[in-house]
Amino acid sequence: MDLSQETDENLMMRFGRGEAAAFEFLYRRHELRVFRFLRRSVKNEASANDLMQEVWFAVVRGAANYQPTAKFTTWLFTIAHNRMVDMVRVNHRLQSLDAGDDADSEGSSMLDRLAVDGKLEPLAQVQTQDEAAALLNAVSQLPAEQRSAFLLQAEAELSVEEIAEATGSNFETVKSRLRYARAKLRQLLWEYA
Amino acid sequence: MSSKDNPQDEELLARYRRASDTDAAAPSESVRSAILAESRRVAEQLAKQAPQQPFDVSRPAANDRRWKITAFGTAGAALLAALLIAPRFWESQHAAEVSSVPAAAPATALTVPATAPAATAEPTAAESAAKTVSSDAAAPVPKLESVAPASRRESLQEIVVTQAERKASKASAEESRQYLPQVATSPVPPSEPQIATSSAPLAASAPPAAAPANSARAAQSGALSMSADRAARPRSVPTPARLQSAAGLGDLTQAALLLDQGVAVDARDEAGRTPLMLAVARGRLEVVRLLLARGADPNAADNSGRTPLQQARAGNLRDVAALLERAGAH
Repeated sequence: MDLSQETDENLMMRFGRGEAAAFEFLYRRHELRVFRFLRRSVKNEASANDLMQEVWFAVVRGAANYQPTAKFTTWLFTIAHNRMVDMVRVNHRLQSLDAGDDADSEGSSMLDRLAVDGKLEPLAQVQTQDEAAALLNAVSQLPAEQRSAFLLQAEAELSVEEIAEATGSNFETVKSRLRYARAKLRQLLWEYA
Repeated sequence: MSSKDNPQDEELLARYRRASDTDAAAPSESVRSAILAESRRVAEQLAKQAPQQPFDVSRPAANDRRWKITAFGTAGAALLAALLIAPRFWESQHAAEVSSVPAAAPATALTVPATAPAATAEPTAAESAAKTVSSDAAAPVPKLESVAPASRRESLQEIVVTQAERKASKASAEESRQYLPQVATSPVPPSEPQIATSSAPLAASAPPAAAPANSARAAQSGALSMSADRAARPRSVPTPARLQSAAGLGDLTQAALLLDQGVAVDARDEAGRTPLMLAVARGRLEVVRLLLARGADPNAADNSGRTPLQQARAGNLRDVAALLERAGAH
């Protein structure tokens, strides 16, 4: 029984029939990606750990009713995104998520402000880090919804359609968020280089 | 525009993933342990539940604990529908049975006990009212003059309706159904309406000579119709066949209602028999009296030349024969 050859959906179905080993294999496969998504979304280690437990508990308890109607990762990161948004709203640690649409509409102006905005990471500070840290730091500087969209694409490897489904957003809105997020990251990296 | 369409976007994602892999961030061991412990606990539960499904999931309805509610509810609805539909179905079937009985009704139909109570006449407010107009009525009505009782006492006896005779009439209804003759579909003369929704159109369409009599019938039968249960059935269609049936069954109320609705009193079946003949054949004294009061021809003969009086005598129905004789039968 080689679980490494099984798809995520089959592993989940096997876990639904009582195979604990299938879930452990599935968890190991996606553990880091989920945790990175959560940690870079909430920017807090402890909160990320709390969310990590909540998300996987939800997966475990939903196994009995799981139906492979969509990709497992879409379902998994939908749970992760929803839990993250709930926590953000409760703790008020991020700005209003609704501000993201306004940011999309004025993405160019925000991009122009990026280099001079004192709230964003100063270029000099970025230059003190290596490229990886600078990139990850740049990601953390993105508006919340742009960051979520980018992380879902980069970490979870979801398509634009799947991101739209996971975040409950419009397809065009997601495309716009991704476009502005990449533009900002390129700008930061170009300045770093 | 997807990121795959833009090499710069692909490069950015690749650089991010390389950077992300260098990040040592990972969930705490306690979180990992808690998740895996929870998964094992749930897996045990799921493993126990899987073989404990005692029912066939392909037939969920049959295994639903609430199937009894559904089943009894459906049965109740069907029963209610049957109760609502059955009376109408019975009426139509009853008429069909009458028309499907062979024309050659056996003579044994005349074996009604001769001891049928002569004094237990049907209620005929209709008859008494008709008597009052008999003097000015036309063709069929003059026969009523001979129906008039010789004395006031006899008249009262004939008018009285006893409950015993009603019960006897109902009891013999089933027996007589098998002897009922086949009825012609349209034996009604063109001048007489077969269907009338009320007595007013009937009076308007009747021949001028019979108009007073018909008006009087409509007026005097009002009380009778009001008191009859079957009179309240709005969808029953008055047909000669139903009058034939009512006469044979001795159903005085129904016969009176059908006559009020315009069914011809002398409508004949395929054998040439009138409702009067059928009533005589079954010894339905009260119906005979009603039909005579409504102008039935006591001397009308069937296709074989047999008259009601001959039928009554052959069946030893003295009361019926006497009534026919008083109505002018010979």
